[in-house]
Amino acid sequence: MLKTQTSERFSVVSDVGFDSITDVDEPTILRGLQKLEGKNIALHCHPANLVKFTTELQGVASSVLLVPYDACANFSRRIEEKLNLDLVLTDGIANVEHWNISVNHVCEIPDSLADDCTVPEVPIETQWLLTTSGTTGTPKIVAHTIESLTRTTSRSSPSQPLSWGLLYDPARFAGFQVVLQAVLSNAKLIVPTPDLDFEKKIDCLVTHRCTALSATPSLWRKILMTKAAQRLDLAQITLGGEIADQRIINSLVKQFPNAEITHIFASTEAGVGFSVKDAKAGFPASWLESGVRGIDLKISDQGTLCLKNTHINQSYLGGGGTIADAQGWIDTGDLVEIENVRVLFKGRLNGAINIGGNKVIPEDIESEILKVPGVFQVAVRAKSSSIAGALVEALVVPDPEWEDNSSLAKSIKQHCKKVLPPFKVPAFVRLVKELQVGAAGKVKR
Amino acid sequence: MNDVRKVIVESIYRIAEENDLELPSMLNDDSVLLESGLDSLGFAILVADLEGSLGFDPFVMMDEPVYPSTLGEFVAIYEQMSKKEV
Repeated sequence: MLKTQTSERFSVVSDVGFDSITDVDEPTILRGLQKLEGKNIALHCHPANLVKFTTELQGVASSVLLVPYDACANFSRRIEEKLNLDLVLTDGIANVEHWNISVNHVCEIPDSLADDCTVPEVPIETQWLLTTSGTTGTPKIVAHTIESLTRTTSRSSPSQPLSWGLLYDPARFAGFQVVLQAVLSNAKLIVPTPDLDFEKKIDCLVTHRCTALSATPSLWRKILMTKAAQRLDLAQITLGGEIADQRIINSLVKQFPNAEITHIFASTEAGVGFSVKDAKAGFPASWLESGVRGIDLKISDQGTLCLKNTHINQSYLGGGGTIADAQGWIDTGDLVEIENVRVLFKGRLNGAINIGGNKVIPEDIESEILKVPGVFQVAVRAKSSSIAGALVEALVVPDPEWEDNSSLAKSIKQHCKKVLPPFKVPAFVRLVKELQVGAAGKVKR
Repeated sequence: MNDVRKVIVESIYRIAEENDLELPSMLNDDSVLLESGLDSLGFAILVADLEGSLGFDPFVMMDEPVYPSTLGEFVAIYEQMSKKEV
């Protein structure tokens, strides 16, 4: 379906050329991919190649796991425990040393692979496996089909085709959405190498005349901090992955007066969510009555937003359980409040902190901080940030018998830096005498 | 006015020290913030830290926030907003 909908106008450009991965010409490589019929593949490549191979493997492979470019040993180990993969397909650019199962370069797919597959009687509906950012270090795998992912994607080809910039990893839900948007609208996709300096990434987008860009509100603030952003001429701006507040929307309206601004509410669990295009934060409260484009919306007793999507059927792979309740409602876990005919997002019910689009569970950080000598008690909470949405703040009660409190904050940060990704390291460590305890005996964050 | 600049520069060095970030030996008005050694998370920490020491966050006060590229632009925003505070 993806390939048949791909006209010749869809193209991928990057600062890394296709010829940098091989001497073999592109059509030969793409023909080689046809040998992978019916296989279960993990695709671990430079994002530009990942996109190209994706369009070829749709309808060919039985399932394709999209591997984030920076995936490490922990990721591959967990994946190999959960999935029965036939091979890892790579391009010689991504670091694939940590995979235990067979790794094949796209130019070296043996003919023998094609021999043992039987020609299916019905066309293969390829399953696309995307991993959530994995709040506890264990990636959760969600299976999608192209149909479920593109149900609300606009297929219209605007008179002036857009050129989409890709700043997300296409192996993540948000990035894959941008890829599908570009494919289905026959657009050009500009894919800077993830390792580039940020200014150079934006410069790469300017060079290739990017006209459409999707980013989290925090990433948009970072884009607006670059010199190159002043040379971006955008017609389409998309925000997602974090709460889009009115201020960042206003800044974008001012900087890019000709652009249409869309903010998307979507979670990997819920599949495609819905989009808001009126350049106002939140969404109209009337949608709670009317629904929006085939999705019903309601607010649960706990104050969370629930979605009912009648068109898709999803489940976690590897024993993650079903997602929707008996009536088909999916609880997004996002707290919402109605203010002046708008429904505004207020954070996560489970206390998870969203730092620039990265979800953080406070307990994960607390358990690490408790390992630091001199720490008696700890509570981790969000500190609101006008730049990153939120930052991690740790309130620490020192052990009364610990003598050297002066270096405790620094030891905590150093320990966290060793074992946690940067966004989880507490930005602020405050030493306090005691933690507030609620009526139920739980520490208040 | 110079006080604001002094507080900002001191804050940058302290945050860099606390977070093991490497800064160039000299910071001046033309220093590009995202290339100064403070990454975007470091920049967010800086703004939160300055709210503690200066008592305001210009990026909350502005209805259409302007995001600065250089240290000079950053200081100018704080200087401008500190006048509004008074």
